[in-house]
Amino acid sequence: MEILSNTLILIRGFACLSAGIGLIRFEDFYQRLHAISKSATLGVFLIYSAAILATPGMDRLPVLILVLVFMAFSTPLSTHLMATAALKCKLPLGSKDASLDSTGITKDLRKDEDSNDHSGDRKFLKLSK
Amino acid sequence: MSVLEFSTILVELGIFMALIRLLMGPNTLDRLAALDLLSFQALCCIGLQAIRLDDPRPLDIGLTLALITFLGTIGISSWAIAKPEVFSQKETWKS
Repeated sequence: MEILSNTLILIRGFACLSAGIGLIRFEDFYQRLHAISKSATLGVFLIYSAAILATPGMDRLPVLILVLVFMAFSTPLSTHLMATAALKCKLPLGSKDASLDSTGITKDLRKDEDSNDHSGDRKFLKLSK
Repeated sequence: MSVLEFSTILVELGIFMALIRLLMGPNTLDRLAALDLLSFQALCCIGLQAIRLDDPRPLDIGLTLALITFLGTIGISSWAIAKPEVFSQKETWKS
């Protein structure tokens, strides 16, 4: 039981560290959103499971289930709302290779306006219409 | 060094990086994302404290913290969706 809980704690530490590194190193807002949402949810899941395993008594099991269900619903919701807000505010994309083609507004988000590079985007838009 | 201490150091490094992003984020939405991550890591610290004290009671605090964080993030994001011109303008230290 203790070995299992220690393993969960260790994995959780690396998950939180990778969330921080992703928040620092990624270059635009959408990539940062990817880093924080996945790692934070994984970290909270692991730490609550480890806490239930390590502490005496099982009377906090309903709290564990409540937190897990609530996190599983709330994190995708808030991340989706943040991404929608970023698209509304037209935050710029970081690199040239990044694309948000399926939204159809890639041309407005690119920093450098070079119309020759976006022939593929236009083809994709025509196909989708 | 036990596993608990090593993991505490890792999560404190993550908190430090989130604070750096909170200070230098170019946009308000970046700061919102950093605050979101900070609250998740506070939730992790609460779990660590429960393990260290050998007492499951701090886990109830985490439930409330998750709820409040969710409400705050939803609120600021809805504000940004309703008024994008407030958030997309360039920020300066003076204003």
